[in-house]
Amino acid sequence: MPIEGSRPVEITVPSHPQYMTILRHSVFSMCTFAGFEASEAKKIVLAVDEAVTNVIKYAYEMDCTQEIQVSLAAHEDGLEIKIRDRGKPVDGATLKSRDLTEVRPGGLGIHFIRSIMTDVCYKPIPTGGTELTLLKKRAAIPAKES
Amino acid sequence: MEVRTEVKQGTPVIYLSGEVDMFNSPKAREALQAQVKQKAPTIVVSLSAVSYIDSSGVATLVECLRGVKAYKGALKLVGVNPDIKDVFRIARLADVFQILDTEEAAFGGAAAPAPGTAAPGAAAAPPQ
Repeated sequence: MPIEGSRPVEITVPSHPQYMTILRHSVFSMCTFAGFEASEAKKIVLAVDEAVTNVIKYAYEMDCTQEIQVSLAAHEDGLEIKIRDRGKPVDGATLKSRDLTEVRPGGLGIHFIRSIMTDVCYKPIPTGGTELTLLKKRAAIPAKES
Repeated sequence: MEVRTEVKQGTPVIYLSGEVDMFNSPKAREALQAQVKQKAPTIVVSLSAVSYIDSSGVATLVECLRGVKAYKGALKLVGVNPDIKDVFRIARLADVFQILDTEEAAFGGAAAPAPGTAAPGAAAAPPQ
């Protein structure tokens, strides 16, 4: 359920890596607005960054002239992030973390996203592209003893 | 992001600063691979001014580590702040990199690894 009175924040960023820093700062602000501690907010920022990076690399195949829409909604128990692109469709079922016992560069993005977020859901957009929904629930705050 | 290389006691020290992400990591890669190409016996990378690192930044460091290991060299990371350590932990690389508290430690002074990390090959403490 959304926080009373709050509305989703919509951001459209060009599919160019140089704009990622702007998105990261916006996501961090929304995380703190949604009640996350700074250390947790930084991890959520990493997960969103990796998801948008994957859009640029795989959905748009490094075409930096496209757009990525990001919607951030603060809920009472966490934060919901939707990332929409108009690029090559992505089958979420095939996106799995690689074996991390092998120390090699690459393939960490999906692992970061799935390790950090509570729920990850890829859905095709009927008119083209993919909508990725990332959900992060806040740790429950222990009730005060009376 | 800025990248600066200094040579101290014959050892290259690469200072990275700012955000090491998909956009900036090629600059870091260029500096690191230049040292790997020269087979520098030890490469020190200072991350003390790095505010953010993503998977492409981590991949750049892993590629360097693999490069130096191929010729039996050493890669030492210094000045790693808790947020960056968290990223290494999530990537399960915290024990793969040699992480030291300070630049001085990389040159033999106060050589203890940073808390919660261990130099590769270091013997585990025996049970008490």
